[in-house]
Amino acid sequence: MVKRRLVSIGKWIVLVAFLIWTVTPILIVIVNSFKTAKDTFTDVPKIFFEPTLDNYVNAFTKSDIGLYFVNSAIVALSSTLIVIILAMFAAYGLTSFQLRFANTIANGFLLGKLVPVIAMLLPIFVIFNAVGLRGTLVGPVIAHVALNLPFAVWLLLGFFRDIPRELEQAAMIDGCTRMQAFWRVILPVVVPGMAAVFILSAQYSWNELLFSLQLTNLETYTLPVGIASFVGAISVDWGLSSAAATITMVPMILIGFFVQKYIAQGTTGGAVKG
Amino acid sequence: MTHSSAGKAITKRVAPNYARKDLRLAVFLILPAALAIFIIMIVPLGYALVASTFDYSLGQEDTAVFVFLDNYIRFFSDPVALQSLFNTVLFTVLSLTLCIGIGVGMSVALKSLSPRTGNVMRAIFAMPLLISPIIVSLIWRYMYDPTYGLIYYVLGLFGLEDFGGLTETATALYSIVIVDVWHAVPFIILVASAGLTMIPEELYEAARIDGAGALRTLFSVTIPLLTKTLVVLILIRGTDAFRVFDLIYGLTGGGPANSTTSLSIYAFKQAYENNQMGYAMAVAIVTLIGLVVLFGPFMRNSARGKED
Amino acid sequence: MRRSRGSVAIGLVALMALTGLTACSTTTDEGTESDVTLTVSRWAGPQAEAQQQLLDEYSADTGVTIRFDAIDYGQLKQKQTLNMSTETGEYDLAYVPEAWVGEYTDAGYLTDLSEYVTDESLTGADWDFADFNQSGIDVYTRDDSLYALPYFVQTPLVVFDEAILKEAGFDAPQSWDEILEVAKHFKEEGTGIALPFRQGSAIVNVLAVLLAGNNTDFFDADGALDLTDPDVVETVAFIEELSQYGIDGSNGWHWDEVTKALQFGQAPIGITTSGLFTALENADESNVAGQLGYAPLPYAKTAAGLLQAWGWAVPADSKNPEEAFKLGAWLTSKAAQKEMGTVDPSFISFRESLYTDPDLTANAPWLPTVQAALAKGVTVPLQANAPELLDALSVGLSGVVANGDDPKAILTGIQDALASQF
Repeated sequence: MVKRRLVSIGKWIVLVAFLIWTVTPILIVIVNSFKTAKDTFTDVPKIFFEPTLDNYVNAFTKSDIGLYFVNSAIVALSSTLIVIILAMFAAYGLTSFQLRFANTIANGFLLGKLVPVIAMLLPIFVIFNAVGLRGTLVGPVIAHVALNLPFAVWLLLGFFRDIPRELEQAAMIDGCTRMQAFWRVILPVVVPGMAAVFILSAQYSWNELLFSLQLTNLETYTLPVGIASFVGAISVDWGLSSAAATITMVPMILIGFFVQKYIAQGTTGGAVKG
Repeated sequence: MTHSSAGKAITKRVAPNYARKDLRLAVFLILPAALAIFIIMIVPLGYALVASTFDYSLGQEDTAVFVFLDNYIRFFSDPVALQSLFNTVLFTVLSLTLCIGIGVGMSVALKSLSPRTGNVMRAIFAMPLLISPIIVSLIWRYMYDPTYGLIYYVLGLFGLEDFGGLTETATALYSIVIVDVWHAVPFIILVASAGLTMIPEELYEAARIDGAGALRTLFSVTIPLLTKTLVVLILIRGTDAFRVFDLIYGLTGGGPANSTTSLSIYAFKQAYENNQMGYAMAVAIVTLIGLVVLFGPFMRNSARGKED
Repeated sequence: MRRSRGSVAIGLVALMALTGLTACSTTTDEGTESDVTLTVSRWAGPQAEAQQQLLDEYSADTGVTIRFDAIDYGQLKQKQTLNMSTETGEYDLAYVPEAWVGEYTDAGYLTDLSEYVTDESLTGADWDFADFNQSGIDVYTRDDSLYALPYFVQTPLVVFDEAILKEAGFDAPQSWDEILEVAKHFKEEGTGIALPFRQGSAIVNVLAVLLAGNNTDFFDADGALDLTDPDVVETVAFIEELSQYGIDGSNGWHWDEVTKALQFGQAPIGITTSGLFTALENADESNVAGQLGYAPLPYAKTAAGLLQAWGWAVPADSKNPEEAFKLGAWLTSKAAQKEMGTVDPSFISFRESLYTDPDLTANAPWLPTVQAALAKGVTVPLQANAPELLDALSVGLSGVVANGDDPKAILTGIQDALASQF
């Protein structure tokens, strides 16, 4: 009894410590966004200070942060949806059809992830320029899809592989086609995996800088480009970049909260037993 | 038709007259993803391979000189290059071990909480991952600053202000590992949490009935059944850590004295500062070989098991 | 969940269409506008904001539409080189530092401006080309052709709190010994001198100025690399000694952190670059506005400065080279440069006549010091293989200040490794 109590207390101490460690840097960013420059650079971290909204006002007046927000939303949403659809199809295709070359193809996907970004930038730039997509949002969307696919496919591969075949067989015996079985029976079982892929792809695309900056131009820049521009050549505007960072963080954090219950959702328990 | 009590998938041969239609369906399902990866990643890979055998600068391709493997020989004879290789491997091993250890531990702890509390805490734990890498570098550079930083303020309270942090060669890389762990552990937590849902409850009940404590349950039930998820996590997080760039560049720029320069930073410098594209591509290929050597074994294991 | 493949496909198509439409409707269409559209590429920051004002003026006067692409400095070179090497025609006017000009001209990225500068229809009647500081012109000249108009210069200077130094009994430090004394005094009191000694360009810049101040150079009279020259070793040894009195954290600081330490009063003395001085004298942002003194970097023999220049070049693939040059000439005209200096005091031009302009000096007390330092202005090495040398030096110097590596050993190592390339 005592032992279990101790374990429980120990567990809570660890959880709370991890919570503090996780949250502190983020709080600092948010707090800094309301501080003037003088208050940010003090010898002793200043907890009590006069908050100001100047940084946010400046973010909106000195830059196109509103436009960046819209562009980011379009790119993140499009690329995430495309990734989810392509990945779930591919994972299903690789696991459910006893293909002889499934392993090779799966490894091929992972090979894509091993390509260093520096090797990708120039060829992709040239390709997109040649087809006239340079400067549009399509460039970043496709780049993000390709960058997210390997991990998405591999993640879902693991989940799809763990699904008992009986589930599918049962549905097909009941008269479903392969694809109907897929939508109605298989997918609900892998919801946690899909939710994980969703938030991970979305956040990657939302926060990606390199391709979002190099493949686009003024009208199609995204939020990370805006943040980076406040981190100047020889000086950092802390207030502005903290405000821009906070604006960028909030949507992802909200989505994160929303997605949590799907990630930890139980499987269709009991569907397969006995 | 049988299934093991652990719920592992057993395949069953589908009747032959569905085979061809199925095959077409399978191809249709896999093709879009495969195409995207091929165009965006495999083609540049080919380009990099070819480019690595030349000595040229960007924009001056007409003066390119074919040097075959000279760039690779140069890499292995340059102490800075080898240092960056060492730094990268060290960084990857440290970060990966810590991330997975802490991440899995936290996921298990979260699972033992009530769903609502667990979800809220998991959402909070997920936050570092959702922040742009530029901001991560920025805020940690600020925190690590001996004059204004929170870390030194706290260390000062314990009398530990002499900590080298980012400014001494002995401690810089480890200080960066801490930041990387902070940023990447949420990824492990999210995926492991999803993976934990696939473990049937009866196994935990059985363990409890058998009188197993928390730790024994962890090692005899949870981890073995998380194996596939863990392998995927090692692969993804490991390859990401090996290719780390933004974090190190923002925190130390590769210094002090190249103690934190990674392969990707070294390649970037060669490409865009020293203007030697061919050599940079060779470094990129070496990085790829390094990845295959380090993580290849995991790939082979993971792909197998379809017909277990 | 009765979704069918069809509806998913339709959804996808709709999404792509939306993306495409948004993209199409937001890209500018140069063909149908009667006015010219110019795209300017530079790094973002307070100077860019100040520049936006001027560009708006130009637009209003001439009807030319200007797209001002000010981006993160870390990505600037990549974006410029990607566009110019692929000849996309995206940029009409590009902001180029002296360090990139060699590479850009070797690759054929830039337009030769020699003919344009003598064309009054493009420059305006009272442009006065002779008024440009000659070293600025030299830095952007290759093979007797001018490839960029020198626009902005910055140099490292010593900045100190006059009151605090006076109280401790010090005047403005000039020689190596003097600054060592000052730094040591404050280090013993708990602070120290703020130094930009992170592994990067700043520490190499400081070395370049100190070498010039010691009447020596990276190369000998014949142009061969000579790092083991006793004067050079002596200079690096001085750097090592100075770094010992650096304020905590200096080994990881770049110009920005040093400026902040000065700005918020944590450091009584420091070495930073003139491009960042505006914040120091801004009462709203600085705790020490009005209290600061400026001096050239400490010198053993003569005061010296660093020519870190930025200029306007016209990419070879620009679709409007003449209009672009017109804009560049306007920006570098005396009136526009003076206006820029008024809006942003740390903006220092290459216009000789403006160094002694009383209106500007009033807001920029450092101008006379800058002029004195630039009287002997040098650049970092600019040869084609220079970047490798600069990188090796930055790593070596970082080792000297952070690890206590022996200056002579480090310099000999670099000399042996790279001498053959020069």
